[in-house]
Parts: sequence; structure tokens; C-alpha cells
Amino acid sequence: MHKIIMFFFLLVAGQLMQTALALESTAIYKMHENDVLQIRVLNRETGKKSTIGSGFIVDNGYKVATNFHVISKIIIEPEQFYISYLGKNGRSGPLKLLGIDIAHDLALLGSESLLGQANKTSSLPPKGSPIFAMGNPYDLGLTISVGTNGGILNQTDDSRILFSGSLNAGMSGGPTYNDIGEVIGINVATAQNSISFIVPSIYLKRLIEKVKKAPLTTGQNLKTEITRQLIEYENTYIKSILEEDWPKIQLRQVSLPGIISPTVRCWDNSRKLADKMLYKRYQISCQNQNQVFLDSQNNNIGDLNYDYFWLESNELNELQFYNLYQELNEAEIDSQVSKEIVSNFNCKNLFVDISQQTFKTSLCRREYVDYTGLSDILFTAALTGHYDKGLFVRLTMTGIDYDASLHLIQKFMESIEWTP
Amino acid sequence: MDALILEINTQGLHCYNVINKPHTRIGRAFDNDIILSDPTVAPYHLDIIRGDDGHIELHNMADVNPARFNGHAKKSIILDELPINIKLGSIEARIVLPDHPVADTETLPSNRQSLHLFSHAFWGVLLIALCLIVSSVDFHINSFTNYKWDTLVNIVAHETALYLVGLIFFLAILERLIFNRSKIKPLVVVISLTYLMFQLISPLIAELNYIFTSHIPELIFNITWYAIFIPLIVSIYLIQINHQKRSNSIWLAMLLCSPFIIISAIEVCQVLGYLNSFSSYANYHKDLSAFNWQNAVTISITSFIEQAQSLSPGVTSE
Repeated sequence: MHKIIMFFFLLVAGQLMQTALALESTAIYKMHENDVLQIRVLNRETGKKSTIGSGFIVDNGYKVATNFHVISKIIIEPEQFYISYLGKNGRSGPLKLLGIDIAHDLALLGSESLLGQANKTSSLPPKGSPIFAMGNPYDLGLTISVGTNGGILNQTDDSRILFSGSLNAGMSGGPTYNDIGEVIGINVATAQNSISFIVPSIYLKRLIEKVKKAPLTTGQNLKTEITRQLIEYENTYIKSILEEDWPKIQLRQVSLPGIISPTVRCWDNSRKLADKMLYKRYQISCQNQNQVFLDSQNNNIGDLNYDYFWLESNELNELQFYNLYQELNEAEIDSQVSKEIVSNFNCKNLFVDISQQTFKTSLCRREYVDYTGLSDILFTAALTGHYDKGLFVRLTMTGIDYDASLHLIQKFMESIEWTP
Repeated sequence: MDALILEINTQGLHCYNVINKPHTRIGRAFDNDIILSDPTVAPYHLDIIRGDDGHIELHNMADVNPARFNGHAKKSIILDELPINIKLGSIEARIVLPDHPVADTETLPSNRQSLHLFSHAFWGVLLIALCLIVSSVDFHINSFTNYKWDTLVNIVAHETALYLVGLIFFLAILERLIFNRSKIKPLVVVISLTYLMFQLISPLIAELNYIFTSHIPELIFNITWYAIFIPLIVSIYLIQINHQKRSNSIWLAMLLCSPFIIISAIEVCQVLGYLNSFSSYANYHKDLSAFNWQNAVTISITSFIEQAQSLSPGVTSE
């Protein structure tokens, strides 16, 4: 009986909570329907939309915040496209790019005329608090999405808030409000099953301050600015990884770097082999979740992936074992890009003593054509000299400063320990 | 004038006819003295007239594809010097004196034993058996499962045996079409020996690749194998087995092998970067070896980083 009463109590409480949220969302919608805008990248020739997103008025009422990826098309083809806003009742006008924060996917746009009342920013409410995302999904009109704050995700370098509501295409760049209508973040991305991500408003505040001091100027090479920001961001990221004491993973006879950063997740990828196979293989794959949107052509960079592949057999003879070992010696960067975007790979192959074992290593590098200084790196090391066991260590990084990558590779190799 | 000899070129061995009658008529019709069954030859194509005073007159009788004498189309000519080349339709012939020198006798390909190797069925069977054994070994060292014998037999029978038989028949047909003759036994021996050689050299080349941490040995092998060795084998075969002229054999061998030569040349250019073709894949050195013989010195991690600092990105494709 006691349980039944409790059940009904919870049911009623849930209904009341939903009603309360609905009331709050109605109020927040009314409060901000004039200062949330549709951001459009228009073709100068046709005057038609090429990409759309959302944005909201900030600072002094002349500025609009949005996501960098919403307006990134003008980086690639600035002569072909321009940015415009569309507000309530059809008011519209051009916007110019004032500043970008490429690492956090933010852009600050400016208007010649007053756009409306600026949104106030606030810090993140407690975990589990209701939050409200506004935007223009699929060009269908302004809407509000209700969810809760899932907290800052440390696997994304503290730059993402988990949002339990649903964000759809076109809502990117829109504001996320707390229950009193202050901006706590900017809508940025969505994953499966109503899992969405918000950029904390602190990064927006920093961008506004930065723009006040040094706004982007007309004719400034944006790709140079993007490269500078990315190298700075990636170097800070790599430095933070290098400063950590890396936990170890034991894989058969070797101790290897484990989760080297809170942004990294590792998974067991060992495949179940058929009984008739005369060998065993174990694989651990680790990836960071810290990708950065570069532009509409290159998409994401900032990957840091590494994996370990252990192979052993007591039943294969030496020739058989090495034929298999060589066959499995494959590694590639998970980024199929064209020659307009990156150069060819150049590789160096060297035999290196790692923990008193000889590894055949290969280091390959290619560079981004339009972003000089950003490289994709592939490093592999294959254990040699054993007739019944083998180990591949593979490390790939995209859009990184080459020198920074070498520091990481060095620490990576130094962290490998062979246990006889 | 003494009797003359009319040499008619054919694919293979030439035909020789003695011209000693006052009139010798050549053509496709059955009442000619010399019958040429080629469709480009007229029913009555050429009349060779021996005069009482000893002069020889060649008289063209064909309206279509008239006879050409030393390359010139004429109604008739009086012979003043020999030999003379004659073209009758597409047939090439020449008139020579009976004492016209002949080429020196060519020696047989080699000594008696090697001749035996190419002509005796035993060697063919033995070499095919060796090919199957080598193929079985290759299958074994490249299989990583607990396979059964019937799998091995199936693979070897389906892959190696069918491949060899198919190649032998293909080349036999080609030989028949080009030279109007084909000899299976020497073909079997040559193909089996070539296959065995390839199977034995390939692992050595892979080992050299590993020793020098380079693709150059493989590239040298590929270009040597397809652009030099295989055409050489084919020309030797044509000279020794088909009795073709050396220059013709070399040209024909190069022609037959040209697809392989072109493919291997493209591969070499790609690897050496001469084509400047873009690849989104890192072409690093993947070879590993059970013997682990390496020419390069094993360096420390610090040295690796020092050397890595000089690594420039690859070229940017235009």
C-alpha cells in the first residue's frame, strides 16, 4: 500500500514538473523570440541560402553570436557568399565577421544597425537543472527545446555541456537559457538519441572581450588566423597531455600508455577469431573526443587516436607468423581528403630501441595546403625479433603542429615498457 | 642461264621451286606451274619466260595486286641481276641462283641435355609437379588456419594448376596463330621454369626490401623481370624453338610483353614519385621479416626524434 501511494505521488510530481517546465519554456520563448535570429549564408549571385543556422544578439545589441561552422563557408569562398540575419517579422540585414574562436566553434558577427536587446550570459546551473535551447530547426521557424543540464564533459576538454534535449539542424549557434532566461551556452552539435552538446557561455564572453580589443579586419587572411588559433589550441592541449602522468595499460608482455588525457576513451577491439585460426590477437583502441570543426571542406581535425595490436601464436612457424604479421601491418588516418586539401604523405622508416626491444617505426607527415603549419601525423611501431609474438603501436593525429606531435611521440615511446 | 630458284616466303619454313622450263606460270589457278593459295594472289599472276638466248623475262599477268619487282610495279622486266625480290599479292618471294649462298647452319640451342629438357615429356611433367609442390609450400606459409589437406589440394589444383594450364594453352594458341605451329612440351618446360623462378626469387626480394628498408629492390626486380627477363625468355624461345630471326624475335617478345613493361614502368614511376600522383594513404614501409636481417642501425628514441625533425611534408600535387 505504501508503495502504491509513493508511486502515485511520483507520477503526480512528474506531471507537475512537466507542467512547470512547459510554463518556463513558454515564458522564455516569449522573452527571447525577438533576439534569436536565423543566420544565413547567402550566395551573392542568386541571393539564395546556402547554409542556415541560428544566432542571438549579444553585447551592445549590435553583435550576434553563432557557431563558426554555420558561417564557415565564407572562409572557403568569401567572394561568393555573405552572411545575413533574418529576425521575427521578416526583418533582415547583412552581418560581418568580427571574430572567431575556432577551438570552441564560435563566431561573433556584427551589424551596422541596432538589432535588439542583447542577451545576458550566466554561468552553468547545477547538473540536472532544466535548460532551454532556442533556434530555427530545418528552416521551419523559431522553436524551443527543453532538456536538462548534463554537466561539463571532461572528455571534450571542458568545452562542451551535455544537453538532454533535442537539437536539430538549423539550431546550431542558437542560445541555451537557464530557467531565468540567461544564456548559459550556445547550441553546437547533436548525437544520437536526443543527446546534444552546448558550448559554455564563458567562451563566448572571452570571444566578445577579444573582439573588443582586436576585431577581425576586412581583408584579413582568415585562414592564417584559423591556423594560428588552432596551433595555439592544439599546443596547449598537447602540453596538458604531456604534463600528466600517464596511466598504463598492460597488454600481454608490454606495458603501454593508457588513458593519457581525460579527453580520451579506450575500448577493447579484440576480435573473436574462428577456432581454426592458429593465432590470437588483442587490440585496444583509444580516441579523443576533442575534434575541432575546421571548415566546410576539411570538416573536423584535432583527432588523437592510438591503438595497440598484440599478435601471438604457438602454432604457426616463423615464416607463417611473419607473413601474417606483415599482412596485419596496416595503418591509416581516418580522413579521406583530396589533393586540394592536403599534400602527399612523406614517410621516414627507422629502427628504434624502445625498452630494449627493436621496433621498426614509420613516421609519416602531410600538411594542409591552405593552413600552413597544420599537419596530419601517422606513427607506427612494429616489434621485431620475436618469432611467436608481435606488437603494433599506432598513433595518428590530425591538424596538429608537427613539433608538438614529436614531443607526444617521444613520450609515447618512452612510456612503453617491455616485461620479459 | 642455269636453272633458277624461286624462294617463296611463308610463315615458318620457306618453299623453294626450281625454274627451268621456258614458261613458268605462277598464280592461284590450279593449272599454274606454281600454285599460291593466298587470296591476294591473282589466278594467273606472274609468267617467268626463259628466252632461247638465255635472257629471263618476268611478265606481270595480274590486274588486281599487280606483281612488284624490287618494289616497283612494272608490266614486265628483263632480269639483269639476281637476286630479285618479287611481291605477288601479299606473298613475298625472290629469285636466286642455285649457287646463292645460304646462311651457316645454326647450332642447336645448347648441349644435348638441355635439348632433352625442352623436348622430353618427362621434364615437363616433373617441372609441373615441382610447380605444384612450390605452390603448396607457398599456400602453407601463407595460411594461418588449421586447414585440411583437401583444402590445400583444392587451392593448388584450382589456382596453380588451372593458372599454368590456362597459360600454356593461351600461349600455344598464340603460337599457332602467329607461326602456324605450336609445341606444347617446350612451352610447358619454359612456363614451369619461369613460374618456379618467380616463386623462388620473390621471397628473396622481400627479404632485400626488409634489409634495406626500401622498396627499391622490389622495383628493380619488377622492372628487370617484366622488361628484361620475360622478353628475353620469350625471344630465346622464339629463336631456339621456333627458329625465328633474332631481331624479329626480340621485337615480337617486346611487343608481347609490352603490357607488363608498361604496368611495371608506371609502378616504378609512382613509387619514385615521378608521376606526382596524390595519395591520401601513407605509403610507409610495411615489410617485416622472420629473419630480421636489417642494414639500418637501431637508434635511440632521442636520435629518432632528432632525425624526425627534418621530415618535411610530402609534395603538394598541382
